[in-house]
Amino acid sequence: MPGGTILVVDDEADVREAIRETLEYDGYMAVEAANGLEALQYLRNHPAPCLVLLDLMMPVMSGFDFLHEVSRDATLRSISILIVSAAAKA
Amino acid sequence: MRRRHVRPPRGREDDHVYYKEENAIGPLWKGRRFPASACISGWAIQNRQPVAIEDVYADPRVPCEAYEPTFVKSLLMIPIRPTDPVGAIGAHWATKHRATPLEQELLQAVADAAATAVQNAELWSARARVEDELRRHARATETLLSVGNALASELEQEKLVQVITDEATKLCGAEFGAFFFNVINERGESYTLYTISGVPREKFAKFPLPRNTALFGPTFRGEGVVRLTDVTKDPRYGKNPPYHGMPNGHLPVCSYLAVPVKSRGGRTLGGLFFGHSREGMFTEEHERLTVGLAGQAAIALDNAGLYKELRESEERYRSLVAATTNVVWTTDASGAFVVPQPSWEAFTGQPWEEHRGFGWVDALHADDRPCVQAAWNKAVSDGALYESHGRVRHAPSQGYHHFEAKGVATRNTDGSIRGWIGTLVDVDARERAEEARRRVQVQMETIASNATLGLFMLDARQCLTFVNPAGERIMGFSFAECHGRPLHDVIHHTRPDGTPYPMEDCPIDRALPELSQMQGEDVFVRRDGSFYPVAFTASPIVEGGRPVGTVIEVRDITEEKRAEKALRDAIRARDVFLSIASHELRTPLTPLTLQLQGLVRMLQRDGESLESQTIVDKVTKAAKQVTHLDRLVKGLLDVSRLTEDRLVLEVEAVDLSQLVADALERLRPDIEPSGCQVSTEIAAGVVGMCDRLRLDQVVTNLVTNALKYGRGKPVLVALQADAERAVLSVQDHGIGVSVEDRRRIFGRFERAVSDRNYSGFGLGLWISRQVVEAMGGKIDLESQLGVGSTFRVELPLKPRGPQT
Repeated sequence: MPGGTILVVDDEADVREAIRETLEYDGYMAVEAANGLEALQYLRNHPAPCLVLLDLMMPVMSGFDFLHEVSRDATLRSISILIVSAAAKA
Repeated sequence: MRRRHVRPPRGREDDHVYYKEENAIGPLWKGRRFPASACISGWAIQNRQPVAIEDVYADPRVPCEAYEPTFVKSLLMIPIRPTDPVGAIGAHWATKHRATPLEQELLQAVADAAATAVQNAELWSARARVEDELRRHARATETLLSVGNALASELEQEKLVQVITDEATKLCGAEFGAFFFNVINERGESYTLYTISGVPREKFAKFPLPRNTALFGPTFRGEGVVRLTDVTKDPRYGKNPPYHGMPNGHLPVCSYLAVPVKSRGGRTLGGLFFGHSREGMFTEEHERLTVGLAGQAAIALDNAGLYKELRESEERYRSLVAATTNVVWTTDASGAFVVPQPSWEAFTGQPWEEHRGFGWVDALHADDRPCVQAAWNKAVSDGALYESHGRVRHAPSQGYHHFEAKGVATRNTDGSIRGWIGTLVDVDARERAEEARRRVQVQMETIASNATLGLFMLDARQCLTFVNPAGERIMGFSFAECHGRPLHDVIHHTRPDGTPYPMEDCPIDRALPELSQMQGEDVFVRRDGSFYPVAFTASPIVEGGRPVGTVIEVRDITEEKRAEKALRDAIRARDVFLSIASHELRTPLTPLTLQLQGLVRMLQRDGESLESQTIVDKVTKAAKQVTHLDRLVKGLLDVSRLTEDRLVLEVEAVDLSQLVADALERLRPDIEPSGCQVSTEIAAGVVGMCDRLRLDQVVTNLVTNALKYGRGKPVLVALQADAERAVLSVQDHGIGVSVEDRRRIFGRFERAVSDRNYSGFGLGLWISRQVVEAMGGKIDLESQLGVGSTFRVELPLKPRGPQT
């Protein structure tokens, strides 16, 4: 369903950029966050995106901590989150 | 005048008189006894003088009550033998009468005659007694003498005892007598050796032997003679079960005499027992004689015992000589065999023709001849003890046997040497055993001294009896310092946590009581109180089924433990590295793949309409990831090279100030996103000899770290120099490094914080240190957890060899 907003959460700027360009090429609107905290701040101040692509290993706030925060927040709990991680044993 | 004769009583009855003959006073007084003070005769005897009483009722000396029932009115009383009165003779008148001098003289004459008669009678009976005594003495002496002779000549103990018993029985007039040896078997019962005299032995054969009863005991204990008029009336008689007296069928015993027989050494050899069926048969005299005989019997028995021992020892000697395989030899004064030596011949196989004279020398081993001959010549010259040893031909084994020879000179009355007598003892077995023992000991010592294992031996009390040099090295104490002390108390008294280690808990010391081998690892204590890990095996030593000690093998495993830990750490670090590496290598791969996939999709979807700028963009971004990958791979190669010591430096003059500035400029794209304000204090124109690319790598690593762990706080990069060295410092105000982590972070694959939040191989600081040290410099760190870190690199401006 092209046209929706997708939040890309990854600490590697190059990864975020590559994902964003791919999504935009397919007609999505991509928003970037460098860690869990930035992602959380975005979600609390903007309309809910249709999907969150979440990396796990990140500085400041990891993907795990982000998931924990989201699960405690009733307004965020229904957001779809797709975990995208390179960690072999995440 | 009526007469009467009174006798002074004897013994305890001294105070009394009794009337012996009386023809006037009548039956009234005859046989009566009066206290001496109650009659005039008593007075005359006591006062040893005649007394004439005119009126018994008027004289104050007369106790008149005694005379009241009689007719007596007056009396005259003369003592018989006044010097030693035996009585008195008196005349009594029924009417009052004063004795005339004639009457007195007459009665005195009668008294004197009586005295003489008494005297004669006494003398006669005394002589008869003496004669009787002499006769008996002569007989007893005769008996004792003959018995003594018989005893002295008799050395056979059994016969001797029979002679003693026979003679003693005769001597004391007993119906039967017996001698019982005082021999007690291991159950405390009397031994069966005894002799009987006077009756056939069979009369007593079915009775048990006299035991240590109340009656017999004193005799067997040598306490003295027991002589009884009637044994059955003695309080000691019949006190012991089962018979409580004589068993049925025993010959009747009334008179009883028992005399102990004691040796010169004071030991009671046995007892002589005598019996008689009538009472009172054994007199003091019998006792005395029997005691005398017992004394002689004791001496004879002692002699017989000595003789028996001598005879046995002679027999032993003869059998020993007969059984010996050794040689007894005799020579003349010069040492020549002058008569055949059968034992020599039997031992060496040399017949008489060969061993006669000095032929015996040929039987000696050639190597030993000079030594033996020297010993022989010396003995012959000074006449002293001959002693030598060597090897001599041994016919039974057809080889040579080790021997020890000894000889002494036999001398003529003038002191000159007549010849020699000696022995030659085969000590071959002993010598071989000794040799074998020496060999084993040398082997054991060689093993113990060269073993790298510590070997300890403890006795049954866990005290140290042996330790080899390796053991001394391991524990750091010499054997002398702990010999005889419990080893546990020396090296195992404290646990690594400082608490005392009781010996009971120690597995090493339990090996002996539990009789099982213990193996394991433990921690011992050094002299200075420090601890060291060891591996041990403690084995109990059992000799003849009895635990006698422990042998302990100990290996100091400090180095093994260290290596083991290093290996474990290396494996852990490698695993961590692999996990980080896979993440790090995948990080550029993700955007690379996405960029290339995006490009492929664009080309497929839009084809020729795609702007070339878009393609360039995509490819440039992909190329950037390839560069990143390349850098990572180069880092891995560096590690591999540094590990294998293949780092080659390309040293040249480098403007360090410029190098630092360039590096910071290149890192600008990283600085901005980190949020850190980077300031510099860089001295201009610092030039040093170093590898430009490697140093750039170090600066890049340190600054990247400061940005990565700096929490967005200011970072200061400084460079100073003096004539000899340059100092580069990178200071951040970030998370800092704990004291424990400071050493570790310069290790390979090490990072102070978990990999969750920080990317990177963890190789930077390790590579930096290797590089700096290769260039002769050093790198260190000042840091406080939560406050920040300052890395400081000191480099010599002129190259030296790498610091070691």
